[in-house]
Amino acid sequence: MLKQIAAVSLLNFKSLRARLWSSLVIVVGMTAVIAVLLSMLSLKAGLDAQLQAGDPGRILVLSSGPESVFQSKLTRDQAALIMDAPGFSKADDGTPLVEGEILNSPPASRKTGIPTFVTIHGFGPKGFALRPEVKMVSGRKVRPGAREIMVGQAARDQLAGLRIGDKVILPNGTWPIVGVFSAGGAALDGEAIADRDTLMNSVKSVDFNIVIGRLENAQALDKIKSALAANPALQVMAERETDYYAHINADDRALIGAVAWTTGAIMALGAMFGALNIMIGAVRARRQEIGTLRALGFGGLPVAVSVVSECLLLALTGTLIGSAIAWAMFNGAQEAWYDNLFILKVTPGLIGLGIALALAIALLGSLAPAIRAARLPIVEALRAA
Amino acid sequence: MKYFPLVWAALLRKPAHTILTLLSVVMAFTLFGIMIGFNASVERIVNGAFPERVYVYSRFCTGPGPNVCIMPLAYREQILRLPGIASIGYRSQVPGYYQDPKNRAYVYMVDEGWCRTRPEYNLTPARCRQLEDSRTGVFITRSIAERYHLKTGDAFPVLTKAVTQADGGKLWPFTVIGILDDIPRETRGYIIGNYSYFDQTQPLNERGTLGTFAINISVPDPAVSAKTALAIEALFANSGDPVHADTEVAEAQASSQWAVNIPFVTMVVAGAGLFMVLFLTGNGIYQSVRERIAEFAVLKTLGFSDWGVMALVFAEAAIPCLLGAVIGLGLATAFAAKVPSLMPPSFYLPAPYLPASVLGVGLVCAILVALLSAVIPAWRLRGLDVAAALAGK
Repeated sequence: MLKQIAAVSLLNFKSLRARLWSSLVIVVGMTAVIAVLLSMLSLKAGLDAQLQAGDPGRILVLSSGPESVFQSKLTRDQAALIMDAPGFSKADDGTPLVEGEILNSPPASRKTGIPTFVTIHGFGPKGFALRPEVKMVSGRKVRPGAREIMVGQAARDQLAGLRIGDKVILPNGTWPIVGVFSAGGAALDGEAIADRDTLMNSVKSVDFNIVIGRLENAQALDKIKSALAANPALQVMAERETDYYAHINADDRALIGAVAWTTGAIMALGAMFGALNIMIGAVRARRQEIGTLRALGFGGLPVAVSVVSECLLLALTGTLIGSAIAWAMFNGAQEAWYDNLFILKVTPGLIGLGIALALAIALLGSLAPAIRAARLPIVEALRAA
Repeated sequence: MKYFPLVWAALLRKPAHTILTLLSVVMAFTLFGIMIGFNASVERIVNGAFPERVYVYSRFCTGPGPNVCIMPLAYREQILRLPGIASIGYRSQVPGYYQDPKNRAYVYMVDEGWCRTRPEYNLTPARCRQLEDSRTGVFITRSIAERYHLKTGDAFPVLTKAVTQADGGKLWPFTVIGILDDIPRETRGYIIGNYSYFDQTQPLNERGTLGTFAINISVPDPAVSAKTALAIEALFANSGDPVHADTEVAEAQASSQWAVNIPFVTMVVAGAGLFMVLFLTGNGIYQSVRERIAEFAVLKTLGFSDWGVMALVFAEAAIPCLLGAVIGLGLATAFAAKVPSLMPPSFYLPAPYLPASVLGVGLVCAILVALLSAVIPAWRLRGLDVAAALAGK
């Protein structure tokens, strides 16, 4: 039986050239579906990769109420109370690895001219120890007390006027950019760093936005949370930094997924009807061949398999071309989702998803014609010409 | 029309093929309609931008979302001294929610000048006076009134997280004093309150500050407004509270590309769908003509001209394309009506905008697809050797 299946399928593949143009319809259809779907999903995959690049060992403490770190406000007294909580890991000097930070977002513009803003993190003395993933790419770190800025590599690449030597306008004058860092693909890559106390002076703020700390172990978050909850002087909430970023852009990621899949589903339906159309035509064109094979003693199943395998082969070819197009155009491309700068990703997982979708469309598009081909009455098939 | 039975017979020759082609075309045009609809709604916002309008913000806002950037009200007099300023208004905002955190309510707290500077918000002088006379009154739009079943006179309490009152209160006891028409630029409706009420609730050290100035210059020219924006930035560049000024035209253009480049994405996706069906219909009509060469030869023998035969082929391609386009664009219109309820509350993507002019573009594209898919087989028939075709060669 397997021999028969192989023989009939091979014979069929060899005769595909005779139906070249109609076969191309399936290939082109799948190319379009997969190229569009994967390109759209590369946005979501890029945002997901950015989230995964975050460090779950770090927590943020925000004043309870505001949804974002920008609106959160913590006084120095509150910050001191938070930093007293047990569960933070220790710095080299034995002090807990936790401190207050401030954020500011002056206007900037994308290289395309689109206005946006760039978020500056005011790093305290422990800022770098808290974020071991931050590595200098070029230039040097900002010096404590100096009005200097360093920018992430995504910010340098996507925003205008953020190279070393350029100046950023802040409330009391312009600050030079002295270095470029990498944060390993996390959101910080699209942002900037300055010295906290200098930045606070400059924006005339006496309060922190957040307190940021490293957990001493995986269970320490609960310990810190209960300590903070037990203190009536504090109305704050603590969460992992990765969870914070995940929930502030959860709606956006869901929306991208919904748009991609709505678009993909409509196109996939169109391609499926197209495949069905072409496969019915293919079976019609092969009637004599099928009749001859059956008369020679080949079973119905090998004939049916040859129909399905033809459709699978064409759909897979289209999927691979579509994936290649999406990959070549968008994998590794710089993208901005509002002020969030990141890199698009066409991952092996996405390509696998595309292949699975192609198989499903090919099966749905060829099953009915295949059954019809297998049931073709031999005499009638032979007579058809 | 008298040749319609001929075309109809050709389409019914393989009914499964015709129906499946139609279904593929329906899918492609559903997608096409949604995509050009999104593009049209973004375009409408960009084209609807007022060329004479400039906005001024505090330069160092504390970030995205409902933020707390403020600047001194005293800047108003200095801006008015610049040449060519026709009107100036200002607002602050109360970003909060109504009853449930999911029901976001972003209240613009405006002054009388704002009513005049932004006439598109339907605040007539009478309504503006009404606003000034009632401390806690707000105007809401029809869509908001329908969403929360509100009418004039109803209480509309808004709870805030970010902006609090001097006494620490987070509840804003607004009352609905009127219902306005919705406008395209506010895709989820809008709420307008009274700035002086807002100011009175603020801590003493924050009184006399505001969020945004809206300015109209005397000439409706984007170049002049861009110059004015720069002049305003320069005016406060060395002050303790520097500002950032943008023209409405620049902001509208930026908004269409801020999350993704909507014009680019929608055109590529719409094109990919059309390309897919072009291949399908082209192949179908090519096969159909090839299999019926003898039939066309008979028609020519009967006296059909080259153009007549070509018209028949084109009609055979056009019927599923046009019918599919009409159904597909209809489905897209139905989908567009559903979009506002499908969007997450934080996302202000406008619904696809599908007026007759945009739907017309869809139908023109359907005719183009039909023409393109029929051109090769129709051209082949032109030079058809009738004798050879009838002999089955």
